Amino acid sequence: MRYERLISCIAFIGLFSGVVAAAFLSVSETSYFVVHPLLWPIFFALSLLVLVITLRRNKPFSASVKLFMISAYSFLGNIIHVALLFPGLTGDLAFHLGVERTWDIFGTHYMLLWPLDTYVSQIQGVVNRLYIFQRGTAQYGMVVTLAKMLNVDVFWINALLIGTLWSVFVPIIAFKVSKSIDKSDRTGLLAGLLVANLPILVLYSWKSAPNVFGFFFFCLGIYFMLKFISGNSGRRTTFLMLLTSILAMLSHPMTGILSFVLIPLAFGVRRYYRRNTSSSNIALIFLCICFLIVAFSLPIASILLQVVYPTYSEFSLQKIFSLDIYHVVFAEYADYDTVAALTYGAATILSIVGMVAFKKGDDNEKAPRLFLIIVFSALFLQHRIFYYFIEEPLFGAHRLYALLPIVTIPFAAMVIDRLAQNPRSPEASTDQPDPPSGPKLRVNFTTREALAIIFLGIAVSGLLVQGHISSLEADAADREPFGIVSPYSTEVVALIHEEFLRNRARYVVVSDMVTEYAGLMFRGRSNIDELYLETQLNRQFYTQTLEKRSSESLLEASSVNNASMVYLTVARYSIRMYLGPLFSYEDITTSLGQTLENVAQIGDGEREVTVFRLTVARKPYSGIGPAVNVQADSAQSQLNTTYSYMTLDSVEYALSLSGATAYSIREWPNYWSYESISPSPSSVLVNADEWVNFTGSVDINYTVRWKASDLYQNVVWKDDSFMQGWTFTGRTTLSSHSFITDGDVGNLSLSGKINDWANYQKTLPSLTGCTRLMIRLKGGSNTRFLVQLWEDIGMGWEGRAFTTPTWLKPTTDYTTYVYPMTGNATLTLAWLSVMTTDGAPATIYFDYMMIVG
Amino acid sequence: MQTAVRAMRFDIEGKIANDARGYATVFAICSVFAMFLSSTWLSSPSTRALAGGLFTFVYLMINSVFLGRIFFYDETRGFRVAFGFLVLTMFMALGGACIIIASGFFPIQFDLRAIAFVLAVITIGTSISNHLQIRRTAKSKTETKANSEQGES
Repeated sequence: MRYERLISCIAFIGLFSGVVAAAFLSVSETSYFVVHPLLWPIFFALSLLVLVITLRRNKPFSASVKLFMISAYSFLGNIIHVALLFPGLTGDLAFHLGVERTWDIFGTHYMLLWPLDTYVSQIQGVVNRLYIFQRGTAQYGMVVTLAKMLNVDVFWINALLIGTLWSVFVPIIAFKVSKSIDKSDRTGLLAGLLVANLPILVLYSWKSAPNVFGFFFFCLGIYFMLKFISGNSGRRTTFLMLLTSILAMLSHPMTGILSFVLIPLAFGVRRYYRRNTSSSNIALIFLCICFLIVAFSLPIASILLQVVYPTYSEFSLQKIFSLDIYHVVFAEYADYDTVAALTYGAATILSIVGMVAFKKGDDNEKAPRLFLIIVFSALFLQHRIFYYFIEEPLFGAHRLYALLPIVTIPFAAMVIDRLAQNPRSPEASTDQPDPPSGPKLRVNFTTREALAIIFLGIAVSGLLVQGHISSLEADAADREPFGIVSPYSTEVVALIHEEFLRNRARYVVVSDMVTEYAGLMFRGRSNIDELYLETQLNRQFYTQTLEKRSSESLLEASSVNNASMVYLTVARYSIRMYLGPLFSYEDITTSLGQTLENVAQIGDGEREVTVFRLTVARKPYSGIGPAVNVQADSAQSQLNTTYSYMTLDSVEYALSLSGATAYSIREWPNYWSYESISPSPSSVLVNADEWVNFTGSVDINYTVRWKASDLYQNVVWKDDSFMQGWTFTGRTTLSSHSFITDGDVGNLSLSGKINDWANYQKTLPSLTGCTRLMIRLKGGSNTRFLVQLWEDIGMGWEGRAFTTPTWLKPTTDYTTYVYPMTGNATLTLAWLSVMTTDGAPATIYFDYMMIVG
Repeated sequence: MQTAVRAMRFDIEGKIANDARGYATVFAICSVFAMFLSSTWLSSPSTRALAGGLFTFVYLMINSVFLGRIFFYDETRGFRVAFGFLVLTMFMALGGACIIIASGFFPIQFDLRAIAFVLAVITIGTSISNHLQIRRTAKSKTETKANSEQGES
């Protein structure tokens, strides 16, 4: 066909552009993952076109042009994932970008930046320290070097480098690997296409993580080993084998160890085929020893690694006995559905068929084929050793599957090549390389061959497309919206950074998980001036702040890096994730807005983020507070108090008294809650709602203290003493219960069965216009509490005006919980309920309960 | 026309690889300094990226050709440059990794200066190896020629 080349080019470019357009049209800021409906159909058509072009021997392009097309196609396959999951995934990928960012900004390891971290100082041994510092360095070194060379943000290099390396070079490497075992160009091209785009590898290939760099160097290493086995080149190829093994080790221990142990195997195979008669037995024994070394290297390394690093991998015979027969035979495949099993297993089955059918080639091909078959067998055996006998295996045994394709796929490509071959055509009878294409060439192209190519093209295209879909499902669909770094979170990070550039004030960020990862990605790990708290510490401060709706935890967070500003980012999705469905994002952000400065509200929907800021005072604010009525012995007077606070939601008022033996204090503001007298007087009587009477020595200076939230001064009702009105209303199965008070703190105790609860109620004087409930309490770890306010209990649940979202676990120190209410209800009854989670005696200490108008 | 373009393309690869007077080596080292200076002096991010891209291209091109000739002289031109580029990226990764690991033991920073040093060392090393290779090839050619002339005589 005269215009076949032109039409093929136009079709390729058109479909390529179509996929790019559909991928970029799929990028959106919505919370759920939406793919453009035309993306996969166009991608399927492009895959089919590439496969048909690849499978058509000598037509319409030369092998090098076809290889270029395969690279372009593979690059597109990678870019789809980068574009659809922009700006990246949370978890491991964000973590590694965070490390690279730290290198980029500070030029040093994040562990060395952290002044409070004693982890590095504890690692004294040179080997241990070497192990810590070498992890992932090939990736970090390459990404940061290229970012500095190109003067672009490290994010872009991180996002694009491995995908580009993989898609451009893996087809070339696979082509060369395949050429060493089969001379056919078509087999090489098929191998290039399949290795770069096989479902098991698509899952990894675009991800910038050390193990993926390790896979890449492993592939390259296999090629150099085959070159070493089949060629006469000596020192240079040996040097390249060692270089790739070192880099595979500096990427990930799994690929590194495997690459190193494969070098003796390559020597063994080479020696086996160059043996003379007298040394044949020695060569065979050496080959067997190499095989065993390869097969057992990773399991042994997995156990021995605990010598240099705290790991818990161990050999166990129990594991295999806990598996059923399906898992023993099929391993992970036993858990897959049919589509997944075909997607991930079809190529391996074809490869095994290829290994059996084509295990012997001509003299130049025998040794490489034997090497690949031995490597496949060793990797398979290694995986099974991990699967059957190693508890808590390191390195991720499933990752071994990703190492197989470079070894096996050339055989699968040979099978496909032979299936697509017309047995009557002249090429079928020879195993010679394809002659160069050209306009004068005429090749018989029968209907049978055309049908075979189309059938195989459709089947393999379907496999490739399904691989991409499965990969995206695994990465995104299952974990939305918090699996992907939200664009809004990145905007939050940028906003906070801009503020820092303006005021240069050191800050710490307490954040939801997605913003935490965005912060690590863009500001690095252990960045002391712009610190994003990580994992458990961050989560602890975050949930405490949301539950208490106060700034206490944020103040505590500021002490981590001695920050003068604390940012809190609250994402809508995180409320449900951390606190449960009963908590409301609006309620929490409204409450926090009373205490903290509301900096910005970014985005909408599930990914909406509200940013709060707390400026930390260097020392507490203090001054003269309101006067209270004091009767000292017989003299009555109005005495001023003093105040002291870091944040307005926790103000301490104090009154100093001396020179008398008996004191009576009254008429303090209604929103104050009596706390303590120090030093302890001789005797004290308290009704914390109204008065405090105590006796003491004339010479001692007594300080009486109150706690208050100055944000909520309009208290319409409070109970600070719990002295009267509380009556028991349930539950009858309790073995004991009591509600006693010392005039300040009410102790509600109970014991009974697991999850038994006691309920006390108090009548309220028909309160209207109530906007907020404040309650201060503490309790043991086996307690839970619930507060409910009723408008008309006779109406059942309809008459309930307010409830805490669920049974809440109290903190072990006194904490003030603030909850907003709708202001239109008339409150007539209050319920306090306490639960024992284990049935053992449990007590909650209520300091006060206030209703704010 | 096509032949002329092809010949010119071949000539560029050949000229870089032969590097008779060391111009390519000097260009590569100058590109490293230019990268260093552009990231220090230029303030506009887009200009910096443009300059960085240009100098990086020059650096990668020259060293890929060198390394392709050193390690893959028996391959075709396309594969030679491609694999040369791969080996270059491996050297860059190894250099970066060495500095990173050393920083765990010594007060070394993995910054622009360290990277420029690594890149310059790679260029000098590959250039020396390339020249040794050229010399060896020329020597073996001379010997072959001399042997064939002796045989003829």
